[in-house]
Amino acid sequence: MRRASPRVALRRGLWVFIALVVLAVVEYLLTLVMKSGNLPWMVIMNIIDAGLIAYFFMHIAQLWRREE
Amino acid sequence: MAVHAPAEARRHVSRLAINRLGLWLFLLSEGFLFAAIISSRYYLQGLNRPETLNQVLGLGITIVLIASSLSAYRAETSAAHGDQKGFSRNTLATIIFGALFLVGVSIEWREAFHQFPPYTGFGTIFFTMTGIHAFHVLTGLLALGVVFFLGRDGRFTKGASWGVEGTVKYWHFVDVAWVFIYPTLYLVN
Amino acid sequence: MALLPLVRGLSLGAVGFLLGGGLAAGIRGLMGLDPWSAEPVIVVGYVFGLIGWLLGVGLWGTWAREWLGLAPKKDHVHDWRRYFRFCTDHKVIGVQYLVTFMVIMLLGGLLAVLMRVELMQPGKTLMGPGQFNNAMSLHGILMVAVAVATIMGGFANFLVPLLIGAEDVAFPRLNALSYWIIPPVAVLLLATPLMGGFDAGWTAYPPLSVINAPGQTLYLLAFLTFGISSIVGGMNFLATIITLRAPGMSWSRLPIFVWSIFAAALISLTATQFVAYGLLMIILERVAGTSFFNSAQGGAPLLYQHIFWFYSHPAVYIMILPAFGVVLEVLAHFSRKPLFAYKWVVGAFLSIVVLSFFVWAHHLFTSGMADYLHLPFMVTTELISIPTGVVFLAGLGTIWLGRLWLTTPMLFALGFLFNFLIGGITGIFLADVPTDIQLQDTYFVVAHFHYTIMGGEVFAIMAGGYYWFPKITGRMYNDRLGKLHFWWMLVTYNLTFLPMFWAGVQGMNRRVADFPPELAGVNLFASIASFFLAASFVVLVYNLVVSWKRGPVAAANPWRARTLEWQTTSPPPLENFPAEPQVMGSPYDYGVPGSVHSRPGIAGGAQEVKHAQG
Ligand SMILES: [Cu+2]
Repeated sequence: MRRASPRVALRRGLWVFIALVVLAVVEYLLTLVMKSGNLPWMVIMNIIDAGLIAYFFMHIAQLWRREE
Repeated sequence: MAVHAPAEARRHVSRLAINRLGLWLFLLSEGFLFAAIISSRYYLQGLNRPETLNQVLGLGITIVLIASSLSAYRAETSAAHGDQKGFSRNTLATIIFGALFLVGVSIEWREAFHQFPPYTGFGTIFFTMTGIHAFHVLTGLLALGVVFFLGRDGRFTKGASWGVEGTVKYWHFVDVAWVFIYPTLYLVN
Repeated sequence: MALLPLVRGLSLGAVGFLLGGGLAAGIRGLMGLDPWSAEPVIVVGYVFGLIGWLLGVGLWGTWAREWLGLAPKKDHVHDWRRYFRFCTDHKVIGVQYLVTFMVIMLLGGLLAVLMRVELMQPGKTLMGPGQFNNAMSLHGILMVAVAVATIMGGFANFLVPLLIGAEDVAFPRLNALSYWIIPPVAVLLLATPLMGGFDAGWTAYPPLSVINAPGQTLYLLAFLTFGISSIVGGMNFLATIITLRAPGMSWSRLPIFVWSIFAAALISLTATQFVAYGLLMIILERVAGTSFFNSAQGGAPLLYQHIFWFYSHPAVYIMILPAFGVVLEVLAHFSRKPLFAYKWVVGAFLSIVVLSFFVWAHHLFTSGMADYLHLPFMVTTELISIPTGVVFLAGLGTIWLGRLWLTTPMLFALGFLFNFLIGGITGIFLADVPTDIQLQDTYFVVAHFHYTIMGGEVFAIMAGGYYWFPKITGRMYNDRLGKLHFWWMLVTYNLTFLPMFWAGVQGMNRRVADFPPELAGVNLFASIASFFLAASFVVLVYNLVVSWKRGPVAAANPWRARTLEWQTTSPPPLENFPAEPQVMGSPYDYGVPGSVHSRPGIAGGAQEVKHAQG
């Protein structure tokens, strides 16, 4: 992602945070509802979590995008 | 000797890019460690999970750790944009969230010692997994402490700040690891 | 004065050990446990001691000071004392690795001789069964370390930056760290006999490794520490090869040795975490009373074998891939011909990396693992012989119709091909489930892996050692002694290990101090041959030591080779090349008209031009 202004960047971080919390809560609630076989859903949500953190928080795209 | 080119002149990939690559490679390696731990949970215990786990605490420390990732992100962003105050405040917040997470884990350990001690099947997995992760949190906290301590004079807000960036990336990784560990220990059924 | 960093490291290490040990005892006391239980105190003490040692030996001065906001100190030593310091020059580190692991190899060899003395005749000769198992285990881990680190730590450190036209590795301080973490490993391993030794083999299977003498814990800590060194080293080589190649050094012009290190580094970066975790599980089992392997509590001993081999099978490729690299390098330069099927070899290396992660359970065919796993792991294991065969055929294709220059390194490379063929073909019987069930845990296995690792990798180490000796030391070895060493070693090596296949088929078990009387003949034969094999190393050491001190001064490029390491002085200056070389073509196009691999850089001022050209 291009270098955003501080305000945009901070807001983007907040959205990612909200998404992560929602995912964690959904995982939790799903366990209360589904009494068995929730593993695939957990894996999918975890991969989304990891993707969000890696892309937005850890800027993984820096590895293949040349800038600076 | 005068003909020897200076060290920096020869590099075609920036020092920063090399550092980033090195750290990502290290994190990939660490990913294998957590994969090994998680696979041993399924190998030994399958989907078995004691009913006595403190679910509220589990969800709570998960959210605390996610919050610490947000503040770490904000610390890095502030530093990159020359906002010294924002950097210090958010680094400190990250340290506090991280410490809170460790407090949560130690409360969890106290309960676990009675419900499923380390010599039981699930206890073995539980203590090993949370212990190795907590060790990573601890090292991350040490690094954050160093960054906070060094950054008081504003050295990280003047542009290149690999010290902040590397530490924060590591911290996010510790969060990612927990994101996988949380359902593995608390939720799967 | 010269050894001040070592003294500092040792004293801080001792302080750390006391601190950590005291801490462990204190915590145990508070928890109401016996405070002076040996193993927890040793484990925690060791961790603190290791940190103290590293800080004292140079981590503090060159690096850790920065973490407290202090300026790091520069070390201005440029003579022999560098070799005893936290020096960040990759060439110094390469030599440190080579000398260290040469010594370890000789120690491990000595243990092998002791084992062969015991096995000369049925019944007790020298050691009891317990001592034999301790010697066997120590021999195993020392040689595994030699096999993993001599090329990856020694040759690769010295040569990869030179071969790609860089002036050092990507992370020089981490590089020094990954070497200086090794001495504690050696100290721990050599201290094991003081604590009852360890008799569970280098594989350390539970339940034995959980209940035997405290020496086992020292072994576990040593291996774990060694693993950290491999991980850091792997990361460093990957970053170096990806980012520090000279202009024009595209991936398709990379010398094959560099490719082999790249492939092996991928494995050591990732798989090593598994063995670290496996060893950690045993440590926890011993000091924290967990139940990973205690089936009464829901544990499973087989978990260890899966985790362990998930590393240790790929680890044989950490050993053999760099050996392939060295041998192909030597074969190409001394056949004066382009390396045959270069791109196929690169593809084979990378597919070996991938496949090596899917074959581990072939070590568990007789372990009681679920039967349905036999077929898939047999198939993947056989699959991996396809890329391995490609590499082998590339070696043959390179010497085919070449103008062979039979120098000592070339002889060792050809010896590698001979031995590795035997090692490879006998591997098929161990990959196939029906034959493996018969041959598992016999001397057939011993002979097979010694053919791949000693007949293979150690011969490659010798090839590389003689080939790069003039570059590393600046002097030439004695060629007649080198050739004597080769023929002596080739013959005695085969006389020692070839009979072991037969002994194995006859039912001779491995890892035992005794055997049935009807196997006396073959064992006596192998033992006597092994003594002659050991003696061949005297020739080697004599040649190396004397030549290093008094050999004729070597030219920059005694082999008239094209690769970059030969385009600078012997030994190379601190910065490797006076100015960064420019790479124009393949390193192996011997006899191809008009082909040039590299052109020396223009000192000062050429950088901008190159940048403008992209
Ligand atoms: Cu294997």
